[in-house]
Amino acid sequence: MKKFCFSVFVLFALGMGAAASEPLNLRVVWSEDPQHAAVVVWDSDELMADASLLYGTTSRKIGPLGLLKRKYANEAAQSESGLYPDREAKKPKKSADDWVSPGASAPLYYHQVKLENLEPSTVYFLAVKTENGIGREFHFKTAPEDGEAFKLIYGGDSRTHIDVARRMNEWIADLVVEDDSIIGLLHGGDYADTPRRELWIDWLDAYSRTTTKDGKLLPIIPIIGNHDVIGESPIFRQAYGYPGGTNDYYTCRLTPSIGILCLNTEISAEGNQRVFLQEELESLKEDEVKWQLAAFHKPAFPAIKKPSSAKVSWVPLFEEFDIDLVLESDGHCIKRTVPIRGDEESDDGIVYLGEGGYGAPQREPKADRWYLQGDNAFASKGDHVMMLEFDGSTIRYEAILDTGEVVDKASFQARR
Amino acid sequence: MIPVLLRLSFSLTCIAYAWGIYNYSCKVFSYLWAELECAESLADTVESLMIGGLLLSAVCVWFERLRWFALLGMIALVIEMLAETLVPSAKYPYLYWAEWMLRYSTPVVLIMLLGSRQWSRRGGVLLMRVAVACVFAAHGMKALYSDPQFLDLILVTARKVGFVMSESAATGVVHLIGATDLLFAGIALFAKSKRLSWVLWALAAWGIITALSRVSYGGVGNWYEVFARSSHCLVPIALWLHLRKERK
Repeated sequence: MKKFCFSVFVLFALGMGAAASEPLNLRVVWSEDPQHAAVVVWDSDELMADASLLYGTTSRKIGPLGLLKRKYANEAAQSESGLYPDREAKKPKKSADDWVSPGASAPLYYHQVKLENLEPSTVYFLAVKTENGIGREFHFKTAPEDGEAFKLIYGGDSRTHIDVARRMNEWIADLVVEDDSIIGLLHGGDYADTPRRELWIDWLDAYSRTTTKDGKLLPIIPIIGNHDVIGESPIFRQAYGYPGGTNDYYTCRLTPSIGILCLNTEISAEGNQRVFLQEELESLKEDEVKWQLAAFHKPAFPAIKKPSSAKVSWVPLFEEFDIDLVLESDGHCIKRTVPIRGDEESDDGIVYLGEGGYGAPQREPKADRWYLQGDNAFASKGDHVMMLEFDGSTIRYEAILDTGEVVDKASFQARR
Repeated sequence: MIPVLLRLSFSLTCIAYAWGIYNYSCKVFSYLWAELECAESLADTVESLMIGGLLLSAVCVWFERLRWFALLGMIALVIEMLAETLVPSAKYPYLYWAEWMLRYSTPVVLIMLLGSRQWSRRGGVLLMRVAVACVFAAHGMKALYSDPQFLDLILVTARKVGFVMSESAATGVVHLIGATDLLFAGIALFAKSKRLSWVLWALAAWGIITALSRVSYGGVGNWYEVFARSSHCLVPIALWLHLRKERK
């Protein structure tokens, strides 16, 4: 009996030892081609250089209890791993009384695996394989087939109030359980207050709460914000698998009918990025992509601050190519502008939605601005995300507070 | 004439900042509200006090007896700059003090130049020279860092006049401008007074060109950006006038 108890203790202790280097915050990142590709990223307290990702279209678990296991069809090696950069520690915000920084100032490593040649609208099961064995199984669904109706969550500015971001992510996980048509989350940038490891640990831990209890992952489409690039930090690229390479801008062809131009307001808007934007808009036009959206951090038609360089460099192209909708962040409020064309309200203008309420403190918008006035506009504040439902020739939009209250809604008809 | 130029410069700067803060808020608000987590109403009150101080200064700087009130505007500018350096998203926190030096030091220069003692007037002139040098050196450094705003000013202006310029070409131009700014800043600080004339005129011309580029970039709605930079042109002219007067 003593031997048995000792063996159990040893096994338990070994298990605890293995848990210390368990993959943390496993996430799926979508960038250029979410129907066929994804980047899976996870973090760990120790470098797991030899770890790989097992994945396939069938779950490893067999039977209702999942006691029997089968092999995954595929195994992918890491494309990159390393240590997140750190900077000097900063005191937590006073409002976050329950602020607990898991492993603050401790080293944290990232591990990226690129998945390619995936099938659209297909559930993939995945697990990290380490020298200690195969970890928890997660699953995610690739971007839908053309023509399928679905919902995409848009949120931005999760910095500062990590307690709010955690709560909102748990609420989003509930939404994902309730509504199977939610496919992913587009984040408008500013994930943490500064690109310091101990703050990003908190954000990545908070985002992992969007994962449902049965392991369903909510893919994220990341956009870079001004708080993510301080000191030219590489943390955004490390945490999200280099979306947009080293330029941090890209076009997300969510489906053949939907193109989201994910732009970067923290570099020159007019130089290479404008050339890229023009080429991409021409390509979307040539491919007759039905829905053309743009998303970036600093707004062209802000509700509080002054217009970013997007207004001068990108808005004329948006109007020339008749894009459908623009998603912005940075202001920390809720806004829906009137349709704008040529710097004035126009029936065939473009609507700008924003401006981030995913954990950042909320501010009173300047509702007296011309583009925020009238029945076709909305301006308010509150912790929120926006739900975009793509259904054939209509996008239905709702601004939803974290209480579940819908404070604004509208629908947009396809131009093409 | 010299006090008029300095008064005009500071007055325009104060009006520009008051208008900018009223319409687009300021970094002091961001710092108090987002970083220190003060109540929005408190941050709003501070912002309103800053606007009041700036407008009061814009007027008081013109009156001999009220000139000390101009320091209110200077305080508003200094705390805005301080907030700019303290917010986590600050890109060049160590450069802001130098970059804005002409904007906030002008009332002190004015008070010193209007003083009756010689050390005060000499100090005013020295402060003007240091401020001119610091402003051009800081802009030069930002240019050498390929500041995206500077790149966009050149690229958008070029596009608007029908000239296609690549980002790499614009980067080369910005670096050249940066190096020239640093060279001129060094001359403004260390050259003998009698050899300073052409540099001061060059700096004044460059100051007005770069200020006006805000309008060529963003349209006439950016007038306040030009006003905010009026000191980059008017103070070098004031310094030149002073040095000419000294030589006579």
